[in-house]
Amino acid sequence: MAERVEGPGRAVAVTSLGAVTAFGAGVEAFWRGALDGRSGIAPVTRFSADPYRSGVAAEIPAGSLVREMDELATGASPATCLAFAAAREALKGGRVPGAPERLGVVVGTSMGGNGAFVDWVRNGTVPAVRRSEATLFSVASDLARAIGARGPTLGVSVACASGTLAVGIGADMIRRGECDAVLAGGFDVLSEFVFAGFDSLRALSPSAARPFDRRRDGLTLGEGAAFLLLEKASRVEEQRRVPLAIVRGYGSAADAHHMTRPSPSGEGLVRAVTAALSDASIVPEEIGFVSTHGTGTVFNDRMEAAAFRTLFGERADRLPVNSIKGAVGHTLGAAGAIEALLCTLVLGRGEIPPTAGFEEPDPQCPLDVVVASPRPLPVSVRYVLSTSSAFAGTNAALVFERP
Amino acid sequence: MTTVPSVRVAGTGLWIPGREGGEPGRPRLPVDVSRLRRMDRFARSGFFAGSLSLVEAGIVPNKPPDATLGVVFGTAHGCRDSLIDFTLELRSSRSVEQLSPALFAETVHNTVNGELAIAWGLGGPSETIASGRTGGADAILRGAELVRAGRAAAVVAGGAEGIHPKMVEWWEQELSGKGTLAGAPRDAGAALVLAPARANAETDDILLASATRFFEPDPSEAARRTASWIDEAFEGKERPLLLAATPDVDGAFSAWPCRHVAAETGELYGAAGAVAAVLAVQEIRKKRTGSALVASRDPAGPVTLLAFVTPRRG
Repeated sequence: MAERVEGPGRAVAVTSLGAVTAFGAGVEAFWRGALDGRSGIAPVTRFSADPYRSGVAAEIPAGSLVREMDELATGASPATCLAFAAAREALKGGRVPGAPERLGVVVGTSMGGNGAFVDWVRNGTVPAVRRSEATLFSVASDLARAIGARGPTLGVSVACASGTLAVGIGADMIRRGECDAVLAGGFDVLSEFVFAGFDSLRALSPSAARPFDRRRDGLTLGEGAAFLLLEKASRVEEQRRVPLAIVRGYGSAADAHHMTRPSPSGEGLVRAVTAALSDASIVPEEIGFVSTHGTGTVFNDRMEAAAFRTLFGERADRLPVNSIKGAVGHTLGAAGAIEALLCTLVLGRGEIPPTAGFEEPDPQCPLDVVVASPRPLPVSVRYVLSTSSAFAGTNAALVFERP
Repeated sequence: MTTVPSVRVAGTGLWIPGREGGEPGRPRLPVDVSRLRRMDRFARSGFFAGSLSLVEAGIVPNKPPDATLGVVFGTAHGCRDSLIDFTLELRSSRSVEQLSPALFAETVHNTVNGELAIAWGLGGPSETIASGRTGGADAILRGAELVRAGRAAAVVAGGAEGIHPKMVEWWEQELSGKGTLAGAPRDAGAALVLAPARANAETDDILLASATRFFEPDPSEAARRTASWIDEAFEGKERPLLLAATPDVDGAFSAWPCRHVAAETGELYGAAGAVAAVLAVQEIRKKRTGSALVASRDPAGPVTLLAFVTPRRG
């Protein structure tokens, strides 16, 4: 049998980033908005929100994807345009391998390209996009074709933790020696289908998400895409390039509790983070910042606070955390990728963005939430953590290291 | 390109309602099945297949959840069954109060993971792969990687698909009289329980000894890379039994004598690779071959190859 031995501890560098969020196209637009503590949440324009208890969402500003819409106009879905815009930016800053067989693609999504299919079921409309575009996997395969990747190409879909899984699985591909580089990320487009569904669960905030705030009353949906170019760190070093961050650990775990309600103690999230810390060969005390899932629902935020108490003990009181969902909304399959991107920027630029929407601490969430203005990340901090929790009880976590 | 999971198949489960040979009937399972009525076709297919494989592996339900037991499932269309039903509900509802939150909760693609984890107390890694027709095979490969990396002591890994009549209508409209579907689409689920290979090679263990995956939209290039990998993987060894898991719509696998599983089962989409993997294990167990290679391909580009061997003859 042919054999390739796994490379234990093979380091994975983040070398480039791409994003499209409610702050517009581009990583810099995202970072500026996040640092300013702005909120991209505004009245819904994509469809009539009159039938619903909430009328707001974090939509991508009109005109952000003009170039992609033009280039991909024939038969491409909005989801494809969105993902391509973020992926294109991520590919600009890095260096893909010369051998296409060594380049992989991993894309996380909750709805994928199913939007056209849903429209057809609901309205009987003939889809403007190719039907083959209207699948869970279509964006990943289109992306692989467009960039000439011939290595492993996967779609992953674990609802709101999809983006985190995509980065974790992509990093694993490099660590095992399967790829030299992987384009990993996630995307999702706002739709009335999802809006109505979350409203039926009474999970939407009527005003705007306020993660970890005492008066929080639900999440706000968003849309977006984010991609990270992951490369074998030794190759980056040989080429005398400087990574933005190192993906040090990844873990996932099932709650095994309930399909929509998180386990109150957060034990599934604890297991996922413990797995990621173990993968990174570090202890909880070494984590200096957490980009939380922080949806702004009563149960999620309380669950996360409980999990962090278990993981970090009394240190949870003074461990800086934030949630970006008060700024760019809950972007579902993109969320974990956006938060991975945020962790990379926090490590590289030394500042933690505040949590938009947070005003009043919740005694049931005794956390050191970064609010109002950016907080410097101490230079002594080497590791940061990103966490995601999803419907059907999937939790995932990533550990990033300062390069 | 090549990874070597070197993991053992500790259990198998197959669930194809209406398959030739008779309706399988609802299996008796040692777990709470009260949630079955809430599951859609996709979740049910995966739940039954995964549960059957766990029973065969001798795994018992755990409380509290066992962090060393993982679940990885693959699919092409995931929860489209529920997605359609919720869309139809949305179409006919006059207010949001008429929408079913329980139905919306089923419109995520990791429901098989969630249902198996809840019923069996699987508290370890949980991942869902959505890579078209290679989804089931990719999930098995990913499950093997998790075991090999020590992230789990055992992983139930497989593929599932649930076919709503509206899905068939959608595909038939796409063809609009220009052809027929590659096979009759049907619900299916299949799973393997994967565990670390044992040191003792004298046993009748069946190993997932070698596997690869790549992306190649050009069918002739996909065929060339597949042949090249088989040559490398089985150099100097007995040629394996080849099972083409997915419909060979563009002839990528036409150069070899294959058992075309889709011709026997119908179009199983993301479940196909896992179904073929279970059939491959069965062939080895029946001593009809010492090794079997499962080839899955989606015309969009992904190819996944799984090689099963037994130390007895491999």
